[in-house]
Amino acid sequence: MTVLASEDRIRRTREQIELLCTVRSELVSAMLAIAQNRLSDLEESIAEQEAMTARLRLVLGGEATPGEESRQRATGVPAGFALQEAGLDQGQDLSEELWIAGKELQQTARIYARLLEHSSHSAALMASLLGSMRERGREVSGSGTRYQTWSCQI
Amino acid sequence: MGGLNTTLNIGVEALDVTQGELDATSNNISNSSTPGYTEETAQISENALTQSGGQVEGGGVTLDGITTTQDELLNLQIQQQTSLQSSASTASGILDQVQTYFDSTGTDIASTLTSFSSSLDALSANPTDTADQQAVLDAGQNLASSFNSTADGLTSAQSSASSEAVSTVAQINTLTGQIAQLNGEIAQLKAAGQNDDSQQDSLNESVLKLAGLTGISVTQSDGGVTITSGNGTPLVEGDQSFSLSTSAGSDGSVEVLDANGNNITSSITGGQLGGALAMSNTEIPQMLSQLNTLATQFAGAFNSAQEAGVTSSGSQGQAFFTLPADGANAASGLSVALTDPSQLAIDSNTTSDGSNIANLSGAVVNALPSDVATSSEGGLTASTGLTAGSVTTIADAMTGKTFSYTASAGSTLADLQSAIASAVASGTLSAGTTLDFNSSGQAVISTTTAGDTLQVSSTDSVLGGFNSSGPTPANAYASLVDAVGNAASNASTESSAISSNLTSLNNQQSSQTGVDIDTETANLIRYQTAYEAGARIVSTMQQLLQDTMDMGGSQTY
Repeated sequence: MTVLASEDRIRRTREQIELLCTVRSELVSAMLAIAQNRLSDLEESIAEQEAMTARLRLVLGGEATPGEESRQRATGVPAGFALQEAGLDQGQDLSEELWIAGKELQQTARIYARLLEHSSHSAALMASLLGSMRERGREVSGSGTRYQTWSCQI
Repeated sequence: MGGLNTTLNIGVEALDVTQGELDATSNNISNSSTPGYTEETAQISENALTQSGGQVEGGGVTLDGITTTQDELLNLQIQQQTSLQSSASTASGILDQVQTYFDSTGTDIASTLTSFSSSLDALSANPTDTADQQAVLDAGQNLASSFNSTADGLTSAQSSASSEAVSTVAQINTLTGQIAQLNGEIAQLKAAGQNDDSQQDSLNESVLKLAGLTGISVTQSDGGVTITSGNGTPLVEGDQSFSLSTSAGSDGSVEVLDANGNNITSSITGGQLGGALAMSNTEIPQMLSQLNTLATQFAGAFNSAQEAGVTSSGSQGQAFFTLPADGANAASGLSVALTDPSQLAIDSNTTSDGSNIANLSGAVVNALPSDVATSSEGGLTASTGLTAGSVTTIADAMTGKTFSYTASAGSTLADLQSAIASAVASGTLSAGTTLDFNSSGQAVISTTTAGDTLQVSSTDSVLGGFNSSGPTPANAYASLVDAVGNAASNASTESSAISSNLTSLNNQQSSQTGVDIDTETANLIRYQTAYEAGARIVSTMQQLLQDTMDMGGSQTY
């Protein structure tokens, strides 16, 4: 591996770390939007996340050169986590930094996923309430009236 | 970038807020049809920003609680309008019932009076015809029955109004007790720093119900609401309520007493109670009084004409009608005294010429009220002297304007006529009004169409001796019917007008505090869409990261 290629690898690794941090920051922003009940902020953040996920896919897995791809297939080591093999001083530090950023993003993503799951469940409950209300209104005025309670619907 | 703890806290706070929103929204949806319910909102506040590693980031949010918003001024307006509307509606309902007794059904007073007059006309053509004589007796019996049933109907309506007043007082006492209890609960919850929204909603609903029952004054304070009646009589203070009670007045009216036993009937206005009391104690008794006067004067005048004549067999005539000794029961107790057509005093003397029939007919035409005068609009035509110092007071019930004339020595009716004409010209009295003097010499004016005849009728000495061709009994009766009709129409119009105002105010309140299901639904759909999109993205992201970390971790560390 030439020095030029190693420097390019370091530059890309730094870019990866930065992207992981940015994505994590975006997830926190989305959580804040949910907490503050700012729907439009949440929608903006989700659009941003979509774009970042696409970028993340490219940077983490899709940007390897043909040579690196064959090497990855042979060793199972992705480009971003094998810098020490390049014999660079900064390699080990950057690898650790990338690992930590990835782990933090994973954990934040798990929290965010749980929040989304709970919020979706809440929304489903509210949808049930609304559905019951509308159903009740329709059925009372129609034939074959059937009464139901909130608890039944929920 | 903050650590994972910060992120986790934000997530937990977000969950709290979502839970709060869910609670508030659930309540809002579930209670969207609950009277008095006020929309709840989850109140959140942003936490202070945090600094970590030179970066500033949000500190999450805190759920402060669930709150409601009230517009006290709007609530007050709604309470007042509810009270007025309820009063007018109650009056309108009772007057609608009263009106049915004056409907033209063939057996009503106007119809039977006309039939009675027609039977006399027929008899005048054949004075000795027994069938025609019997027809007069039958028509007289029908007329008496009409007076009886109309009076009974009015008495029944008055009784219903009285019962409604009594039952309304019981409802008021129940509500004031509930309000006092809610005041106590609210005070306790506030002292404990707990949410009292539910109690406040119940309190507002109860106060509104109370306003529908009687006119009230509401003052907000930390201890809840203080409620007084129209004259300041306390009904609720803090957690204490003061019960009202009812008793029968000496004149049979319904009296409302405060907790100390003071009679506060006259100060009660508005609400169901105000409407019921006005009908029970004032309006219907006035109608009954007019009806009794009509019965007394008509029967008295006809009896006089009958007693002045002789029968075909030469016997002195005897009273045609029997009137109860108590004038207050004249209409309900009126009956025909004669039992045989031969008892009709058809002659003025012993000659069988039927000459007294004209007097009998004249009595029907001129008898009601006893001293009656009509003139063209603008004044009277007689000039009989007035008693010095006598005071004629005319009160216009429609406009509240009054006219007073004090006779001096030598004053004539022409002077009174002139004074009335001046009053009409100056606008104190409206042209085209009907003046009906009551037994106290006071007149109540009901406006009729301009250009109508100005009628002045009096039973007191102020216009004593003034007697000219008067209105027919049917017209006198029509005046009573008009009064009933006008009262019913006014109450109905007032009720409709206030109802319209009330609808507007309620809509305004609903837009401020009510629950908009459509908005809730639209927001919900947006939230669901966003959550689903977010979940898909984070799933992809997690899978991507997991694969990458697994590969990197197995080789490097």
